[in-house]
Amino acid sequence: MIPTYNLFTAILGLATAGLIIYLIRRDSMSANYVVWWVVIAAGLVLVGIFPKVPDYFGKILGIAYPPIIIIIVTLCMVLIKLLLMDIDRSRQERQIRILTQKLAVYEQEAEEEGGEGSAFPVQGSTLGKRGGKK
Amino acid sequence: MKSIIRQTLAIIPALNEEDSVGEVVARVRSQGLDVLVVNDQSSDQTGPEAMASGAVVLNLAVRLGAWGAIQTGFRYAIKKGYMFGLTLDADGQHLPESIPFLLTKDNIRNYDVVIGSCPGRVSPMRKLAWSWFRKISCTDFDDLTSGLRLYSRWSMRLMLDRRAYLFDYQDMGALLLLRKHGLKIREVPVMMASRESGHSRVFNNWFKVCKYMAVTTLLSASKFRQKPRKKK
Repeated sequence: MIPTYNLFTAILGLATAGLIIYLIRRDSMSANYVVWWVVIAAGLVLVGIFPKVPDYFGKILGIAYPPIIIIIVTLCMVLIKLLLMDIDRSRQERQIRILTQKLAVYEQEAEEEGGEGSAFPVQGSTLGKRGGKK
Repeated sequence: MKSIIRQTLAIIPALNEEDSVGEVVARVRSQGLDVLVVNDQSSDQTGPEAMASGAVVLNLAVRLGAWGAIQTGFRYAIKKGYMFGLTLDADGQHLPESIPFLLTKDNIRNYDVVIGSCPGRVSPMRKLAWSWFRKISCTDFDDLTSGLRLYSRWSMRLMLDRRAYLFDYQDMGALLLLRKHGLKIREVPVMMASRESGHSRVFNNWFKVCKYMAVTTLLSASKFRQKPRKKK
C-alpha cells in the first residue's frame, strides 16, 4: 500500500514537471532556458515519487533532519537562477542601449539625406528642415 | 587652431532643458564648433529650441540617461569624421568661453582626454564623498563628475566598448574605464557658473544620494588598482 503522503508528493512533482514540459512543448520558452527547467522537472519527479531519497542523502551527509536538504537545494537553485537572470538582464540592457543609440544616429542621417520626402518617414520630421551642419 | 575647432563636435546631452539649451548652443556655436544636442526623451521643447539655435538634434527613442546620450554623441562624431568630441551640460553650468582652454595645441598633442575641472563648485558634503571615492579607487582627479570633457577620436571609440554601456552618468565609471585603457588624462582648471536652471540630478533627494553612494562605492572598489593592459 502506497502511503498517502507519497501519493501527494508524487502528484505534485509530476504535475509541476508536466506543466514545465507543456510550456516547453508550446515553445513558450527559448531553448536556452529549457535545459535548466528539464533538470528541475526531473528532480521534482524523483523526490516526489521517492520521498526517501533525501533521507538517504541525510544519512550520508550526517544531516539529522533530511527534508531540509530539499529546501537548501531549492534555495540554492533559485539564487543561481536569479543571478543568471540579472546577468542576462544587464546584457539585454546593454543591447537596448546600443540599439537606441544607433537608431538615433540613423534617424538623423535618414532625415539629412531624404529630407521631407524620405522613403523612411521619421517621427518628428514635421518640425521642419534642420539648420545644422551641412 | 582654427582647424582643430572645425574638427571638434560639441556634444550636449539634454533632458528637459528648454530654458537654457538654446542659449548654450548659440554660445558654443559662436566659438566656432559644430553642436550636437542629444535629446534624452525630453517632455518639453528642448529639441525644437536646440534646433532653432542651430544644433543638430538626435532624439533617443528610449531614455538612456546622460551617459547613454553622450555615447550617442560619440557614435555620431565618429561616424561623421570628427577628430574630437567635447561634452558639456545643457544647463549652462559650463561656460563655452572656457573651451579654448581645453582645446589647446599642447593638450591635443599630448593627452587623450582633457577634463575641465572646477572642484570649488561643490558643497562640503560632496567634497567628502569625492575624497572617499578617490581613496577607494586610488585616483587623484580633482573633479570626479565634471561633464566638461574633451575626448580624442580614439578615446571616444574606447568609450563605446562593451564595458562602457551600463554607466548612468559621466563620472567615476567612465573615469576608471579611461584609466583602465591607459589613456592620458589632463585636468584643466576652469570657471563654472552656478546652475542657471535645474539642479543636480543626483544630489536632490536622500534616497538617490544613498543609492548613488552605494553604487559608485562598489563600482570604484571593484576596479581597485585595475592596471591598463600592456600594449602589444
